[in-house]
Amino acid sequence: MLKRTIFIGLCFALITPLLKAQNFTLSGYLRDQETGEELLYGSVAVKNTSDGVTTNEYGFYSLTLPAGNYEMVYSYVGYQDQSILVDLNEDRRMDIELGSGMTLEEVVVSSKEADQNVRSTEMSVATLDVKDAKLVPVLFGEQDVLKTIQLLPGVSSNSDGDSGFFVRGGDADQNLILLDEAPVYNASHLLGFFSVFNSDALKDVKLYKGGIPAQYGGRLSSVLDIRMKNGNSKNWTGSGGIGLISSRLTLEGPIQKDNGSVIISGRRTYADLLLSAFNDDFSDTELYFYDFNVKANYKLGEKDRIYASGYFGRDVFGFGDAGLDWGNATGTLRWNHIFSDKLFSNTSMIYSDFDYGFGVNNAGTAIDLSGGIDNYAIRQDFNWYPNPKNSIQFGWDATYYQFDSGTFTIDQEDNEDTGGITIPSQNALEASVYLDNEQKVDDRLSLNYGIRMSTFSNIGAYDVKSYNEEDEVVSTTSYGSGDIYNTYLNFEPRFSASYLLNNTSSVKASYNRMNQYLHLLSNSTASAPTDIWIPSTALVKPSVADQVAIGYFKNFKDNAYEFSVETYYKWLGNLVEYEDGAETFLNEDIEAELEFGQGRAYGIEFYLKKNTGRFKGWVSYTLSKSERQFDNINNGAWFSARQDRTHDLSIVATYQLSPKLTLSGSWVYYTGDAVTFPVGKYEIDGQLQTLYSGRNGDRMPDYHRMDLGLTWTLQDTKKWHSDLNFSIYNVYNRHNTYSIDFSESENSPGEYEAVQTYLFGVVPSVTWNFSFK
Amino acid sequence: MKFKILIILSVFFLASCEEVIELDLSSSEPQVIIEANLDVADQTCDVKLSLSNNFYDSGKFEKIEDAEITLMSGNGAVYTFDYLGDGNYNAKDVMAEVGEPFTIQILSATYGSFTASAVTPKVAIIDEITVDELEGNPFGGDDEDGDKRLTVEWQDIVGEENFFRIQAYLNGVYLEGSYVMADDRFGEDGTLIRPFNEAFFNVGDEVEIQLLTTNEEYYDYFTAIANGGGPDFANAAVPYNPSANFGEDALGYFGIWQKASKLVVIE
Repeated sequence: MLKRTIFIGLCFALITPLLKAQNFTLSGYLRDQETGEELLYGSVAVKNTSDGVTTNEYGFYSLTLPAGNYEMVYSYVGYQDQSILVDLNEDRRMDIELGSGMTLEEVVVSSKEADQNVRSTEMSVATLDVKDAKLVPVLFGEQDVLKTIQLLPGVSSNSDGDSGFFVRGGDADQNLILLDEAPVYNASHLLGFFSVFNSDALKDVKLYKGGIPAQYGGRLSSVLDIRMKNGNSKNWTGSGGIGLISSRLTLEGPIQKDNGSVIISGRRTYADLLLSAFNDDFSDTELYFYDFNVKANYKLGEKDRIYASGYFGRDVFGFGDAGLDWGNATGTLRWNHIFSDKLFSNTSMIYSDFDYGFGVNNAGTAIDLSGGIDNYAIRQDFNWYPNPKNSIQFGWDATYYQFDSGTFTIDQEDNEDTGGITIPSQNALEASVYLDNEQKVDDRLSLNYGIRMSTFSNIGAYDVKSYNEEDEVVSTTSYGSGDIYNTYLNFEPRFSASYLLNNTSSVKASYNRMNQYLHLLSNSTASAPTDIWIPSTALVKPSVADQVAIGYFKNFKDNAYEFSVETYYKWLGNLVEYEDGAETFLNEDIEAELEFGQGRAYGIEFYLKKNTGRFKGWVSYTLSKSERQFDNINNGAWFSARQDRTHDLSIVATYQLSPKLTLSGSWVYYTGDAVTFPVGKYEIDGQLQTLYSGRNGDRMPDYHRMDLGLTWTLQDTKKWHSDLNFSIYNVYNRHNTYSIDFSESENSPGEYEAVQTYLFGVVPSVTWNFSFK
Repeated sequence: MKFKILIILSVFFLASCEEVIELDLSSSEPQVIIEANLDVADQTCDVKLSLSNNFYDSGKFEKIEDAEITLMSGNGAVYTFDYLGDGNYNAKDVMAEVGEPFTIQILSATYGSFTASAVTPKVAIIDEITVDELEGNPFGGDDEDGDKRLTVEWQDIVGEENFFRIQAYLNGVYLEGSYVMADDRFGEDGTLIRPFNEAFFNVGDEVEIQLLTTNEEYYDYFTAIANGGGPDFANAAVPYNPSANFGEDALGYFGIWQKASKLVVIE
């Protein structure tokens, strides 16, 4: 039914304009005046009308209008609007550059762009301005977009100082994290205290919590689309920073002025060097990470442009004879092609890899453990702008996965019987096609509707096993290399609508269905590199989520303030969990140790943001619930998900004291995690054992914390900028619980007490940042 | 486990701290705890019945003293138990053949009735116990620990899945809470070799190593206990109450095991 409606809608949308007078197309790119960087999701509008488009992921726009004279307004948040008179009596190509040279005294003009949140059909979306994010005080002074998005409504953090996050009650593996379209499988460094994303190399960060467009798929709860900078195509510039535990450097410049550019960015932490300098016990401890981002692009003419981008990062942890290292590598090759002024295309070839290795070499015995996941993908996306009322997007993609769930070897010098175990690797192909249309029905009503058809196939060589209730193998069927032995086909409808109540307020609604074919199995609460990704199989069904959301959006005082309230309900099906006491370590029959269940999450999110002036910031508050149900866990009754946070409040503020000094602060509060505490104890074999009641029936203490920051501009000339950033994490020294242990009291033996571990007291830090032109 | 060490270390570098906090815990009805062991070689079956208490309670665990226990073998023999006091019951002269099933029934007027079944496993023989010296332990270790490690070598029973536990007596005293569990899941044919890593010894120690071949339920139960027994278990990501063959009504297990032992004097 829905498919038919979409089809009829599309036909209608395409035929209507053919009946009208002659039309011409205005198209081109929107760019930053200083650096030549394309501006994504910027606004291109005909003044005093509702006609307009936003630029796509590559900064391209196309608008087809009846012949005539128009005043076009180009705008982008943080930049000065440009109004241009256009005599549209033929197809025109206009590449526009916007300047950001806004000073404190200037009055910010209200623009179309500023009320995007009210006008666009998008809801449940958060766009993060990387420049703004840099002002938010953070742990160790290391800016981190993944930590900043945790301050937005509907997004909650994993634990203290951790870059892992949960969206609207979903699980950590339900977030699709894309870096220049390449999926990042483990987005954390140093066990989660840093994310793999170096802010210096990033241009745009957009998080979809709901109303997810049809071009995205593969995860249930969210899409975090991160785009790297292209590099300055006008001049060579550089920037960097030196902090207490890490340093970074970025260089960017033209390959050929205005035709191509390159950016290279690197980071390295050196906590271990400091550690060993202060304490000899750590002289043989290694603990650091590094990462590189590289991107180059070149225009092959007016219609073609190619990009190559890559990320490589590695964590290294070693002590004595043992070591662990892990990391991601991604690569993206892209080709933008403008078929006509109404049809834009992008073709990408994508590689992504995550792997870990653990090794111990002691007294002639070498132990090695390794595993990971990698994928090769190709995708093609088309933007077609048939008329000012419709923007159609369609495309296809195919991803080939290799799952390496673990290889373990043991090698003893004086023993020829060297052993080991290799979990057979698995292969799979995920492929999809999609189509969606953004349609302006009239001045008030806009719709976005689409459908995504996704398939997932398991590919040999592999031995497929079936199990009985005792987790024993009942039968084995062998498939040869290249044999497709199991396939799923799913349709994922997507829909969102926005209705303008007046010029400053709107109501919006959305529905989306998502399927997920990869599942992360984790048996610890921290983000551990050894968590394993497994594919959907005949036994492990694809997870599915249906989400509906409605919201009210309102801007005040010439868009200086924006306010929104959204409420959502999400159904989750075919969720995967380890059964109680699962044998998780190098178990090739891991599928037999899994439980399958369902979930539900619902809540209401409030968001108030001040965009302009010396005082900026936002308040976000989420009231929510997230529950799970598995037949063999908690006697089949519903229980709270660990990340079920009843209340989640964030307040973020920045205040420009003077042109040289900016003060910032944030305060967060959330309900403690749902956990299972002991209700009793008993004795087995003379040893104390703990007795538990239902799953996740207890709560950790509530979490709250205040951070403060001060950015002091030392020098700011045309050629050179430098500033000092001071930050204090956890200003009032709140001891936020990381974990709770129960141990025998030292004072009264035989009695037990609760001992909490907290990670951070007050953590001050200072970073010196610079940039040159 | 290794990963836990990693977390602890990195947490240490981040200057984490520990402190005692006031934390209210819910209480629960006392749960019945059953430890039933049929030692095939000694022809004896010991049962210990106790109750759980609240987590912050101090003092001893209450025992169940009013139980009537019967053990029935597959060939129709029925054994009754004597009460020895302090929750301990015992049946003597129990004859068990390899592969013979047993059912144990425990009847308490106060706490209800509980039943479990198990099958008598085969016997394995210890081939050799080797002693080696640890040259620094990558995962640290207590200074009071010795530095001699025992490694046990025995022949797997080919053609079937087997379950083993290694336990030790140091100078005649049972080493409580040392669970070295082994199965043949790694597909070794013939010889199985496992280090006894639960304790290290000093020169002059007299150590009796016992290799138990057990029923599967016993193995699974103690594997769960070994993976996170003790109050520390509260820190597992997914805490739960391990249960074996008594079903959901009682915690604990009914194990049948064959025993092979070897005495080593550390030189």
